[in-house]
Amino acid sequence: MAKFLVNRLVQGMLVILGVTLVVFVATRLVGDPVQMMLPLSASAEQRAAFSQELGLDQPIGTQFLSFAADLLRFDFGDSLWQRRPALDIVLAKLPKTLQLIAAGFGFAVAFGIPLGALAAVRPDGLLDRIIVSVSLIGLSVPQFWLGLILVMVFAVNLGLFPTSGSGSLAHIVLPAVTLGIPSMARIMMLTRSSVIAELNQQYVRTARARGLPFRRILFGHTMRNILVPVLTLTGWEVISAWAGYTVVVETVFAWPGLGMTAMNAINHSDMFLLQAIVFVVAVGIVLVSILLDALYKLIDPRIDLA
Amino acid sequence: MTATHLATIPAQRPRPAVFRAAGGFLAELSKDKAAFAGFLFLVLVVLAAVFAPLLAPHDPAAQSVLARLKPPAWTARGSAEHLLGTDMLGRDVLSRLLYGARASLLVGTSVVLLAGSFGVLLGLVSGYRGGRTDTVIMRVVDVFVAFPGLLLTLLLVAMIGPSTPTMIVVLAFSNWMIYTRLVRGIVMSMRTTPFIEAAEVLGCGPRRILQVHVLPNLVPPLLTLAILEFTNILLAEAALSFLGLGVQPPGTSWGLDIANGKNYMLLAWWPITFPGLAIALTVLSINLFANWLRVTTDPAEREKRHARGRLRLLRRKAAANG
Amino acid sequence: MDDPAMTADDTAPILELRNLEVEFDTRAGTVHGLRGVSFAIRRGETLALVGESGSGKSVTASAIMGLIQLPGAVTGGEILWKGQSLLGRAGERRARRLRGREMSMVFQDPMTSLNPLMSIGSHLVEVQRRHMGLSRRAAAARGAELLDAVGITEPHRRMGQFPHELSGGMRQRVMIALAIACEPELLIADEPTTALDVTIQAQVLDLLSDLQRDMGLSILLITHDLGVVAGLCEQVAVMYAGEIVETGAADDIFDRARHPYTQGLIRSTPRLTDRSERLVSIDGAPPGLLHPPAGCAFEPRCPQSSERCRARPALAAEPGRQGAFACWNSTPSAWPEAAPGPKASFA
Repeated sequence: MAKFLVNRLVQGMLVILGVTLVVFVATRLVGDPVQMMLPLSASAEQRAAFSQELGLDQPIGTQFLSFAADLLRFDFGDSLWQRRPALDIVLAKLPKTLQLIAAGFGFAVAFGIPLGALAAVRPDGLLDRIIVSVSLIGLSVPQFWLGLILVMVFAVNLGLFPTSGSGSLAHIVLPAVTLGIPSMARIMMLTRSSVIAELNQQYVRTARARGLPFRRILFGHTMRNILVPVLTLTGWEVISAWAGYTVVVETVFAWPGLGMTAMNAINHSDMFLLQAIVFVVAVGIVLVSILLDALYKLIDPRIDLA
Repeated sequence: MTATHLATIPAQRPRPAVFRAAGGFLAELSKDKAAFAGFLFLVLVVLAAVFAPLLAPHDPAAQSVLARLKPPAWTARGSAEHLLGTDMLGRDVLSRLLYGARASLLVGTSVVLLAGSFGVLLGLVSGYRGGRTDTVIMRVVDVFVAFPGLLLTLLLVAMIGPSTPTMIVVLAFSNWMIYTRLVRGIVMSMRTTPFIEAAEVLGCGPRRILQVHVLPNLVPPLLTLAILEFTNILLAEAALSFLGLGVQPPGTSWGLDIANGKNYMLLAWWPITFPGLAIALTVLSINLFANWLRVTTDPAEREKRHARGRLRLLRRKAAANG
Repeated sequence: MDDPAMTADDTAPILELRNLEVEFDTRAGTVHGLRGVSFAIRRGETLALVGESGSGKSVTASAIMGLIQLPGAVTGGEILWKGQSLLGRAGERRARRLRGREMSMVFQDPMTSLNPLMSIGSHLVEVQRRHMGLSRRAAAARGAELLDAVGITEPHRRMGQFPHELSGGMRQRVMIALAIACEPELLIADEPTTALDVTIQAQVLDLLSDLQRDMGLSILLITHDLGVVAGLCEQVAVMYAGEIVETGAADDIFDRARHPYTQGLIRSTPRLTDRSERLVSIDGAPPGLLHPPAGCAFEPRCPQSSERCRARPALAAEPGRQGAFACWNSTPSAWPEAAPGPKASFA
């Protein structure tokens, strides 16, 4: 376990270092931060002063080291747009995004796993065909468009939910469903194919020979065995939502989380705020993936973490 | 150039085997109605993209204040002038749809080719060389996979400045790893199979072994992966354009059109509905076709499909008897 | 078997197969897995079903246990448990109640036969709770006793272990414990020792033999290895290409096999007491069951085939001897060089 943790922490440090490097190259070398962040009307003196403040007159190696050191201390500087520490803004918006992800994936898992298992009971049966078709459609529809259509139908025409914003419980329904549907479709497909494969395993045959009823075999035996692949996928889906797909959903629904803040930062050319978000999200990814690996060990005693 | 003209090109070089293969392919495909419909739709999309200037009734960028928000032709206020209506600026939705197919296919194809060739190359090196090279490459892959994908993409695009080429490069940058993992896995497992070992003993050079033995085994899974990745890129392109970080006006893209239409979607449903349907149907068609391809190239899957067909037949018989 | 002291109930078979047919529907066509298989097992009897791989032994066992799955299906004949059919809608309902309780099965591969994510104890508790209505605690206590009974040391510790922590022989013992947990009357053992080391094989066979004696079990032993048969079984049925070609008492079969295939099989089995002869195999391969031959299936490989063999021989009893065989031209030894004289020992 200790070896596993050390291994994963090293891996995590590499990821953080990689992200730092990419952000550094993107913000300091590819883009011109001075031009991006100062208004066009800024004078030459103002530009030079700002450039010096950022340390852009230093050699590139020194620049990177001080840049990385600042990031590792979670010192991202002040947001140019809101005139307060970027980290404060990130931390203030974080809970909203976490709420959205929790609700979205609660929905995806609560529907994806049971429906997938149901489809697997009779492959190619009527129910299976319906479930597979629905998940194929769910996979194919662009998320932002799905969100707009849901708003038109359920918020505008039926008036069941608010069109955007946050505050009440009703506010989270449409964004969460929009975020969750593609993941639900993928979880459903994987659960289905895993259960079908699992039901062909020898241990299922022996369980049947022991006279155990199908229901008992399905719920008592196979569901536990498909948990590792399904959990892997769900974890991956959560990570990719966390790594950016909430941006799309939050933009559509004006959900005041990290994603919408990232879009605002881009539109305001607020580089400091944007890199703070990217960095915090990267750290989150590392933590979540370590947590997931530890969870596998709990489910499957055969997994050797070292 | 017309469709008949295209069809005559292979005839100049007589290759009947190709025709027979194509005929067999279509015959096999037509057995799966959903996959066949998907394939037909994809052919339509490709034709629309290629022949957009010939097919489009209007200039997709031509604005007309008088013809703003005209509904589709079949509705009460619609006119045959604009089959699918017009948007807020009076631009023809159908024409924009046809041109929008170009952006989707261009970005999708370029990114898959760019990311695919880089990823495959790295996977071949990693799997074939093994040892320290492999460790280093896989570590790099692990790091890239753990990057905050879309967010980093947004950052890069925002820094470089949004444009179609930027989008292609950035999407390729964050989507090559899956090819490396796939190729490395297959090469690794094949290196230990007896026939590769035998070829090595017989003195085949690494290049020849790769060409003759490894590549043929890589093609079917790679093809399926590339097709599925294409759908991901298509959706990513649409999302980026929707966020204003992809295709820039006066260019056209389905995602961009939805972004434009979203502000007045309560007044007019058509400017966002048709581009959205175009994306969804294209991605759905590719998924259906890819699924069919995967099943068809896998003998075990074909046997299962046959068994399930029989199962349905038996159930129907049982239902008729009981 | 004809002992008049036995009651009618004891001499009646507990399991009987009549002309059982199983077909598999594949893309290439219909594979005739079983082509009319008949045999019976009485209470406390051990019957060995012997044949090459692909001869239909395991399909027979699967059919009895109701494990034939599509594309396979039982297409003809009868399976009778104590005289009642296990086929058809009512029969299948009956069979579901029997399985695991009155008849149970041990499979060939102990490595994949246990759920990798369930502890040994959970397996044992599950089946007892299901069939015997025991409480969790009682089932756990009895589970440890069962492990002890099949020769597993430290049964209480083993209950908490997972399959991957046990050796193959140990897992097969667990499978046997599971199979006998509900005190069945019939145990089907499908190649129970094939996947095990030779030393472990003997131990598992001894265990089965002990259980048979102590519990009055009937055993249907499925094997390709005649050496396994000799120590354990009274009755033998030889399968070839989806049908039974010879049945009889084990001693009779080993001494005076009448079917050329049985004779060839015995000839090609290594014996510990016999150093003189090299092993001889039967040339050729069994016919494919996609298009089974109309006549005798063994005819192409038979040393003494004749015109009559174009017609399919029926399994016919031999006067003055318990047992039957399906051959038109049976002789004491069909094969060129006679098998060595003294009675072979397979122990």
